[in-house]
Amino acid sequence: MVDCPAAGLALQMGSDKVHDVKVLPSRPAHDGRRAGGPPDEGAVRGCQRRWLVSRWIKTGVCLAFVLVGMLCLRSFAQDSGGQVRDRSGVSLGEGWPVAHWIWEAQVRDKHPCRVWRVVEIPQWGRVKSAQVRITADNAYQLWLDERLLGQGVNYRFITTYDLTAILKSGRHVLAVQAFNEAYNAGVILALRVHFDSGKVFELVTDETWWTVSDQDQKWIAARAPGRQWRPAVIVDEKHRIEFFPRVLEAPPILPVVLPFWQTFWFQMVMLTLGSFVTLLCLWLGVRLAAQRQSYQLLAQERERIARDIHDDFGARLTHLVLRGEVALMQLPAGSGARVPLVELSDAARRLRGALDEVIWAVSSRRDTLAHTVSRLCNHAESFFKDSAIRCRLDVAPGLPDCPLDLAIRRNLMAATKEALANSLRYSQAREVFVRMHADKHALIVVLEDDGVGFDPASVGAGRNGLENMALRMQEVGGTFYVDSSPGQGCRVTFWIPLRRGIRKSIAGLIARGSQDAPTNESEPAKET
Amino acid sequence: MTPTKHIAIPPPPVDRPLRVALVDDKAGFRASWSALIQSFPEFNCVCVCSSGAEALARLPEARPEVVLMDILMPLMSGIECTARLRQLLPKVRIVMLTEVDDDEMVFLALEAGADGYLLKRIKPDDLRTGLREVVSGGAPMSSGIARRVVEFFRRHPRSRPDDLHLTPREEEVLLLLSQGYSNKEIADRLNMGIETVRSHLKNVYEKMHVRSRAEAVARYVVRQSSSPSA
Repeated sequence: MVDCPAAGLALQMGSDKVHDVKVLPSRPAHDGRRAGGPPDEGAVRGCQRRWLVSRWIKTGVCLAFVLVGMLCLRSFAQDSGGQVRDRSGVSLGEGWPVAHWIWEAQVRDKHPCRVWRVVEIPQWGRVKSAQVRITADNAYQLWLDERLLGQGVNYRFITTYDLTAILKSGRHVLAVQAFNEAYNAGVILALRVHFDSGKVFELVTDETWWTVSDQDQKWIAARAPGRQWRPAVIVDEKHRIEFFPRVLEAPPILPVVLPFWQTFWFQMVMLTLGSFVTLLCLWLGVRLAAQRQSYQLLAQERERIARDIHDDFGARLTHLVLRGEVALMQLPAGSGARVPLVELSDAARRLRGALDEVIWAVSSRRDTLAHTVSRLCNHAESFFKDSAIRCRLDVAPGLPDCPLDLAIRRNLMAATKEALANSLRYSQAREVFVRMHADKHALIVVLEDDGVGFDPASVGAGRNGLENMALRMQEVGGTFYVDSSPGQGCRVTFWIPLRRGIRKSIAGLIARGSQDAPTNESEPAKET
Repeated sequence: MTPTKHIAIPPPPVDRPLRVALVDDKAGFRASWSALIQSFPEFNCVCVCSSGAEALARLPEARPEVVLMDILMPLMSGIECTARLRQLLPKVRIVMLTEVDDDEMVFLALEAGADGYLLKRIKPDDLRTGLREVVSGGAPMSSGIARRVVEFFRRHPRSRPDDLHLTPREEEVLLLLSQGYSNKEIADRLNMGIETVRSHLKNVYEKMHVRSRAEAVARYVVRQSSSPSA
């Protein structure tokens, strides 16, 4: 407070008493002047009377000093922290409780003072109305539960904040940062809560509030007073101002309406969802890794089996063929054993060819488009080699060298064989064209002949293996068309989707759920 | 060396049988093959080796005209052995004997310097004609191999001016071959003699060998540990 400095009452009172007592020592001086007269009987009585008088004076002086000392001590004690004498309080308006100006023990110029208190709003029913009135010399900022309610910069205005909409029963925290420009300072606040039960809860600034230490940065959010904090000091008397404030009404404070994404429940749901998705991803990742590993193991195992079959069965069978030929060569011409030996040799040779097919199907090294294409070409060529039909190959250059499932390889091979066999058996064609090309999504195999053709509608289901081919394509997610009419040749088209490895893996994971079957690669090779 | 030097192998003299060497790691095969070859009057099996290393050591001495080489052998594969042998004996004709009809392996062998390939389960008569064809300068090539050869030359464009490349005629022959036309059909279509077709194919082989020789040797030496399997 700048314009109304108040004088210390204690000092005034003290000086008054001291002045009263100082009157007393003048008496002995007066008596001493009278004692200077001649000695007589009256003089003896006078002596006695003087002695008595001096005793009285001495006693009085002593008493006076003791009194003065006690007064001094008392006023000193009050100056250094006692609040009893300052308590008079200020009413903040009609029907409002009496509150006190409070501040830190030490009043400093140009200094903020931060006061803080926990407010326990009792469970007395529904809050009908809740208001807080506040002003400070010189300025303040007011928070309730970390929310800034408002601020003021003029102690002549008391502001009423309506907290009806936001104050509920329970524990709250009021925090005020006041600022003093110079000289005296104080902050005063009163809270009044009306319940529908008729009860009224009141809270005012007094010595139960805490002043926050300067070092504390997070004091507004504090849940309990800090260790360095000190109780507030009531400064009513020191702050004896002409206080005829005007009361301002701040607009009612409404609950903060959070956008839905900031609401607790939404965030909890999103968090749960997020964790769930993360866990799902982790689970899928682990499964994918496990599946990839099992796929690799499977590929290694298949390759090993293929090598074993090749090195053991294959080599022995080839040797058998060779031994047969050598034996045949050593037999004399015209021997009766030649015919069965030739048959034996041919049978072993065919067996060797069949074993090649098994090895080709089992070997994981050949799970590629390039291998399949070259295999198909070789088969088509050798299939028509001894027939009247010429086999023409039309393979698009630069086919992608992508991996191909065993299932696709096997089914495509089988379907192609069937279609070629049909051409050989029924078409009476001169030429058969095997065309292969691929785009980004699919491998397309077209088998075309210039034979007699047929009417696909007239062919019964299951005849000529047409249905079989369709089934084989269905098994690998592909499609199959027959385009033929009598006299116009025949064209069979296989369309096989080429899926990328990772997409296929994920699709496989989802499709198989919790089953632990690695991939469809685990199907036994039934190729014959 | 120029490819023409290679091609000019004289036809087999009637009086003297051709010297054939055999490289196979399996004893049973060696015995059977050599017995079969000895039964043909125009061939004489002069050297039988059980490994690639042995072949490299003994064949320069034995001076065969034809080598029958198994592909799948431990330690050194027939493909690597072919690549090395080509450096030691540039004029020898090397024919691969394979267990499985696998385009990729066959192509690798041809790239390494082989002149042809035969399946092990071949009939003796076919072995005889096959050997004869290779020796007389033929270059057997299936459609699948022809397709790969075309791809090989397209994938390895000329890096140096003296790099060999296919003439348009050679490429034409290869393309027809890769589409399943026989040598005779190609000759008819392109209005040339069948011998011309064969000589074109032979030149293709030679160019491929010349181009891939250095690189193939380096590759197979590096790949030594991981010899190709079935």
